[in-house]
Amino acid sequence: MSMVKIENVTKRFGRFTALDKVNLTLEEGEVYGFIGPNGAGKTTAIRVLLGILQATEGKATIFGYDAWKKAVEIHKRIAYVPGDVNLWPNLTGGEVIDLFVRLRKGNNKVYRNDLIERFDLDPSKKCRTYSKGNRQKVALVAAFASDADLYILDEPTSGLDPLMESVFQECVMEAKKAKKSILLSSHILSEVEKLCDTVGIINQGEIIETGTLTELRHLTRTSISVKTAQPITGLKGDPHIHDLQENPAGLVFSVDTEALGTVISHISQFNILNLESTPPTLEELFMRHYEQGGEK
Amino acid sequence: MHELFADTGSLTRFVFRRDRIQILIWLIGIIGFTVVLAPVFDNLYGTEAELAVMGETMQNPAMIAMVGPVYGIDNYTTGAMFANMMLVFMAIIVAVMNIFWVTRHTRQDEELGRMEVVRSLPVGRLAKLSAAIISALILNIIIAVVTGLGLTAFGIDSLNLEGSMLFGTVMGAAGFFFAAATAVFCQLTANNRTATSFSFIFLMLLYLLRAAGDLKSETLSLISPLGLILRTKVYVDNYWWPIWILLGVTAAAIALALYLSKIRDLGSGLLPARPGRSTASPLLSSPLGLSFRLLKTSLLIWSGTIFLFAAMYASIFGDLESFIDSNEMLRAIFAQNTDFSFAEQFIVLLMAIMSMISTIPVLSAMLRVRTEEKLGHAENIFARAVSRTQQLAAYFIPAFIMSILLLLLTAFGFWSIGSITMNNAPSLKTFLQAAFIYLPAIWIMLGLSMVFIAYLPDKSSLVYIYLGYSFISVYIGAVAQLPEWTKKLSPFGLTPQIPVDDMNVPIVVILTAVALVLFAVGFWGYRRRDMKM
Repeated sequence: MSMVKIENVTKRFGRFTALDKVNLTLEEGEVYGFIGPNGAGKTTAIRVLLGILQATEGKATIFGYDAWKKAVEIHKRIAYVPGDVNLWPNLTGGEVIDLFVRLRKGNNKVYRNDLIERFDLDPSKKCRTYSKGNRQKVALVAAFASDADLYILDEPTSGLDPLMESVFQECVMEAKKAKKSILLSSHILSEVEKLCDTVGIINQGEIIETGTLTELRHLTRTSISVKTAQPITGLKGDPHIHDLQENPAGLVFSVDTEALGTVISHISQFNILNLESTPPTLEELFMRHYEQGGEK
Repeated sequence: MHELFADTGSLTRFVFRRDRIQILIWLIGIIGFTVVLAPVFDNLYGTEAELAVMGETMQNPAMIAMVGPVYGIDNYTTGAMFANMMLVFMAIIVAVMNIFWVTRHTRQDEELGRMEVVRSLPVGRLAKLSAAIISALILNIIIAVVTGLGLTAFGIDSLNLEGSMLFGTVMGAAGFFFAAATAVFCQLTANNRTATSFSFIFLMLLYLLRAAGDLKSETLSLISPLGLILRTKVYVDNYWWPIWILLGVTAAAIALALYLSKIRDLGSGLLPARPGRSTASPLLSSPLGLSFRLLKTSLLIWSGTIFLFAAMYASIFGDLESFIDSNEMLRAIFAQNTDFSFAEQFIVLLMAIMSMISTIPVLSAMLRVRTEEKLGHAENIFARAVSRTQQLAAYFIPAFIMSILLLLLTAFGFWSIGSITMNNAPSLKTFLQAAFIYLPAIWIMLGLSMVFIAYLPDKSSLVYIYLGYSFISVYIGAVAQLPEWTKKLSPFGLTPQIPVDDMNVPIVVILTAVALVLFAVGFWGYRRRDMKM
């Protein structure tokens, strides 16, 4: 059974379509990276999953239950970190963490103090004095202190410093090891690359690409920098070769990943002296889709 | 030196640009209210005999504690009475405006991170504070001059030009003093909320100091600026010296605020911030625990205020008979019914008014659930195992409890003090009945606010307008003899004013039933809508 299943979900606010027939599946023990530009619909999709918004059409389920109708039942087993953490200015961080943990009902608090220490948070300060990063820490501690089956994290590290970001990544890895499922919406692509098994790219309310990182890489190009004994011929005009440039170090170009094998065997005839290949980063992937999305 | 104040001018202009609507509302409200009441007072107490009786009533210690000593009793003119009744209250209202104004433009901007942006520009370190103070000065001058001129506009003999200008100046000077005091508190405390509450506590203490002083010792009154300003004896002797003293103190306070602002860091206060609890108390473990925590302070303050209000009204119950007897207009209101004394008839009208005032905290507790949603707090709650019904109930329950508690406090306040000041005071049971008859009306307002929250969340404060209408139709309606049907459009007007009116069981049952239906619709609707930020 899938932990999260979004089937053809459409959400309209008046005439504005925030989500357009979105599909998303998250299996048990999987870490799903949910990426997309600002305003693409990530937060709306997450709010539909949380039962805070009701889908106009389609069906969203968590643990097989309807996300809107069974919200309370579902929420006993999930932990959530919002993208914009708004807390009560006159409550302290410690009070908010305890309140959040208690509102999920029947949770152990074993990790609470440990997590507060790891995230280097002062729980006796009022929330009004916290910076964005500190408010995020409050939400993260409350989330990881609860023994949930599914973690929904909406851009959880946008205000954290690099040190805290690595603490966060440790927490995610630990949860992953414990066979928990995680939906991670993020802007930080290196983070998604490091943590996620599956990636979904959303733009303008539509999922435009989804799959494992390896699968997605096939759709893109690999950068090659090569120096050979004899000058290479026959690359110009090949539809799989792009941005061909010649410089003192040799030839630089990018190649469609699906044609990588043929191109390499072609080059090898010219006696390779040096070859460097850079796999496509998620960033390039993202930029390409982002630009495509812009053209529509 | 100039460096510190660089570009104060542009910041001051910006403040006026930013808050022009708010300024207009404050000014029209304060000046309009003061000026419009002058002819009302003149009409209400037309003859010298009536004024003389009124003067006697004002010498009652309870009234002195409330508004200050009576001056010019030998020749108690409309002007003397107007200043006697109005001056301290108008000074307080202007003070409240100044407190909000200064905190808004200093500490609040600092807390929201706007000050940081301003400070990164080529402006002086003290420019923002100076702009807040200068703009406050300008507002107070406008209030002083326009109120002064406005009061003379009706051509009432005893409201002469010098007295009127002094009246306006007292309002402006008292207001500016509190602007300066607030500016000092803004430097001492570490956040907007504490600065605001310190300023209000300071205002309250000075008011109490004056009350104690006016009853017991002139010196205490002179120490309190609110007592000092009454020594101008407006429309009687028109002394200006208290104004000069107050302005001197104000200047010193401004200098202190500027100095403190110069030596402190942005975002901090000079008083150390106390560390809070690092774990939550066991009470804070449900939406209801949270809502009580959030509403606690304001509910306590409202309970105290309502009780105090009731006790103050009750302190004049004893003088009511002679007072109403002497006033033609009030006699007209209460003359129709001869089975009940004037005092009793006055009490049921007061009860209606108190019940409507008590509705304000009930509504504000309920509407807090919408505020939580708007501030993004509710998202944290709903992401956990909390249903919509639980969340709505967390605010409905305190609101409901308040509706009962506040009426109880009103009845108790009337009874406890009333039985001391009156000869034939009604029993506690009568007061309780007269109060609790308004429960269904308050519940209807509460239910209405819930329906708004469920179906028109963005418009939910409209329910206050209906409450305002109720107030006008019942209260002003009684004075100005508005047609009967205007009252019938409000649940408060429909409620029988027992014991003077007969008990009307069907009406009470219908009102209660309507309230229950509104509750149900509110709960039902809140479950099926999207949360809106």
